[in-house]
Amino acid sequence: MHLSRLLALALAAAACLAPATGLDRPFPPVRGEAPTPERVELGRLLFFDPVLSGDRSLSCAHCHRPELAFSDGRKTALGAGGAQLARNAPTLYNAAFKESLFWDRRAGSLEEQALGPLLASDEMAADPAVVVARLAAIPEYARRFEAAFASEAEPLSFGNVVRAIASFERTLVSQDSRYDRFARGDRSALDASERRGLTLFRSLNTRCFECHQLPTFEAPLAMGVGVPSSDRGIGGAHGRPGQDGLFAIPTLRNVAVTAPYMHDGSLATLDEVVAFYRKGGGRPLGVEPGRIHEHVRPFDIRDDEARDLIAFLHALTDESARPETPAAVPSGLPVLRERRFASSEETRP
Amino acid sequence: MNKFRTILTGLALAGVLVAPPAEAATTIRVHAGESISAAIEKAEAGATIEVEPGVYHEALTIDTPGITLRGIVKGTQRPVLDGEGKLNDGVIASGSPFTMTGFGVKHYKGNGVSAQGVDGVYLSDLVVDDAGLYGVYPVQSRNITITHCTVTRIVDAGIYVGESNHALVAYNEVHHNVAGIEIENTNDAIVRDNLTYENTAGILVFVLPGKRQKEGKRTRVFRNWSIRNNTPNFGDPHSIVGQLPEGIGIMVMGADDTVVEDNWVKDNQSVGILVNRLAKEHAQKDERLEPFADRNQIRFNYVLENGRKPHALFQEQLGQGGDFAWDGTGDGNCVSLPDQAVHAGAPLPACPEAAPAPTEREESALPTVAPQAAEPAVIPEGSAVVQIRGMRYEPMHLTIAVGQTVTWVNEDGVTHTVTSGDGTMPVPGPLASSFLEKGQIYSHTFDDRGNYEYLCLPHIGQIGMREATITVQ
Repeated sequence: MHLSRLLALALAAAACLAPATGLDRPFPPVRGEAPTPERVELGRLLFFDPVLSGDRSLSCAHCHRPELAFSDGRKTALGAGGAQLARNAPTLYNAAFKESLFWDRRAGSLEEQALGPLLASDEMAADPAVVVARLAAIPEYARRFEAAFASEAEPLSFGNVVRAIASFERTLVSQDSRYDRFARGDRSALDASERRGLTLFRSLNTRCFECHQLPTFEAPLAMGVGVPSSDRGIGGAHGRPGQDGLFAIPTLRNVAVTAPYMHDGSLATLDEVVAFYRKGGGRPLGVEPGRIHEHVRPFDIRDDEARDLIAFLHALTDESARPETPAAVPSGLPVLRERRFASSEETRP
Repeated sequence: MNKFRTILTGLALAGVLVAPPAEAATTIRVHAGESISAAIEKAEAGATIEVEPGVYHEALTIDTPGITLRGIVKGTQRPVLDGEGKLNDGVIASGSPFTMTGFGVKHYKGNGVSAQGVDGVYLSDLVVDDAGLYGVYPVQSRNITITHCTVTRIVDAGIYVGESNHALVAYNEVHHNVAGIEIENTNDAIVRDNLTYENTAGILVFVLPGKRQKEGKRTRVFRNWSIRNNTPNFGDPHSIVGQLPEGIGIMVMGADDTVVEDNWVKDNQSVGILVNRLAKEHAQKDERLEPFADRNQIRFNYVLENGRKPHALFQEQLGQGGDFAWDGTGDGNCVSLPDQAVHAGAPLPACPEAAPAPTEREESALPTVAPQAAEPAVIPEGSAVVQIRGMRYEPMHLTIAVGQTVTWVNEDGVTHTVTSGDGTMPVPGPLASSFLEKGQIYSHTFDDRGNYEYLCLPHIGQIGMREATITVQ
């Protein structure tokens, strides 16, 4: 960091007279290799470029849309040819801090994660050799890979495609919501209802805070809440007995923008989510109790308190790091082209 | 470079101005009928909020660092936070450090007092009753001191230290809860001189799955009383604690390097002291958790008359109850109980003679908070007085008339109690003081004729502190 920037930050901190509250917790370090500007920009272009998919129709951004905090608004994602995939597309904000990725926590890095949908036959169905050949044929990509991975013998490789995308994803941080400003000492950043909601969030009545932990509002843990589903989740991915029905704890950062919710998108709104937890998650829904964490149990709050809680969740929105959607990508293919499928009524891209 | 240094110096000075030194901290007084929340709202970092006796129907959230909430205790009068069964939590604190003394807390739906992610938690002289899931609950915190609290009728744990490091839990009276004192996924805790009785289980040191902190190591449990913890479990049957069989004095479950020594463990009808693993169905939820109890030392403890009516679960798994039981799992555990102690389950070798290694950080390194110097105790008019001084009740034997009040005054610099007893054993009876510090008093009015014997719990070994009597004629 430049000295001048350090000083500017220090001055800004000194100018902010309000002392931070006890909620002002340090974020974990960004995991993985440090992004460079060249790799981030290359990654951004690749992220939006359908050239990576087998049939040149699907880009990462189709399921991770910038205006929806990098989710897709669907219950579960739509794959190649409109195939209905099994799980809800999660936000990418603050993925840089996560120990593991995917609802079943099967990837240990963003690079490993990106390989999943790229290679899956019902998702982007990329063939690594074909992708490299296609990119090499596009002069702008060839140039950008040379610049981004200059010291390497083979700058344009499938591994570097994934590294560039991961570099881009590591810039998608969300740390300046109104909640964060409140945590840093600006008491006017949250209104009375939101503050009541924040307190309720930390209550031992609701116990929200025990899984959605400050400051990332997630935790690197496997958790069962009892969404009725045949999806084995972590138990299926890792073959561990007793972990069927357990899933990753998703972040609540930008949660107001990422409906619908849960691993299968089965809850359409935050109202439905809060109603689900008020009744004890899957307990009244016939889900085997062994799949539901003991902290998930019915809690008694008033309707106005539920509204406060939801108001607070809206204060976790910060999309200031949202990148620009490129008007065009080096392949010349259309960016985020609307997809129409006979099998689906969905017409949105 | 010089310019840079000048700017930095200036910033450092500005920093000093931003965070006022401790002596400049303000004190805000809350009078009965006023709002404590309003005082918290305007309190600056480091402020002390003094609250006069009265009932406050409030849920307090404290995010400002360095706040002290001091209840003014006048004899039996103190400020009481009362959630009336409608409010969620008595106190939620996130600011570091956080200090709270001299309050009553009751009738909350969620929890009594919770500190979340706080460095420096000082809780003393809190009387917490029927306050939801936990009475006193520091979680993901460090440098915790909980002393001289009375916690009752809690549906999970009276005092619960979770996922924390360095805690002192001492001189608390914890009874009629499901679990008395719980030390969960916590390292370097000291649990001493507490009185836990008539809970479902008295003192539990254990690990649970699905937590960020995976270990519970080096807790020391000594000089506690854990007696008659036979209350049928009234916890949520879906919770792990709700599945606890009644009748357990002290349990070490999945925790490592615990030392249990010099405790009085009596009349717990399943097992006096239990060492076992976290059950498989819970352990398999978290592959990074080591579920076995290893290298725990159950050293000399006074164990008496435990295991006489064991819960069916123990009958089934161990064949019997006892003063001590081990489930046969885990490495390097040992036990050295008195010869007459009844052992159930698998046999364990005796502990080495040598004292166990000290904890990573000794207790002297833990900052403590003394109970506040109470305003002078007022001895009720017409009361007879028993002074406690020099490890003696004076007089040892006192005769009074029916309807008269007796007041005990602790003039010693150590903690005493006035507890109904029979010889060297505490028994349920009318005399049940809390822990009395120097200058504190305890009064009881005797409405029936009879001979009332009593003793001091921490000092039963002292000849002047047992077999004392009040005769009512």
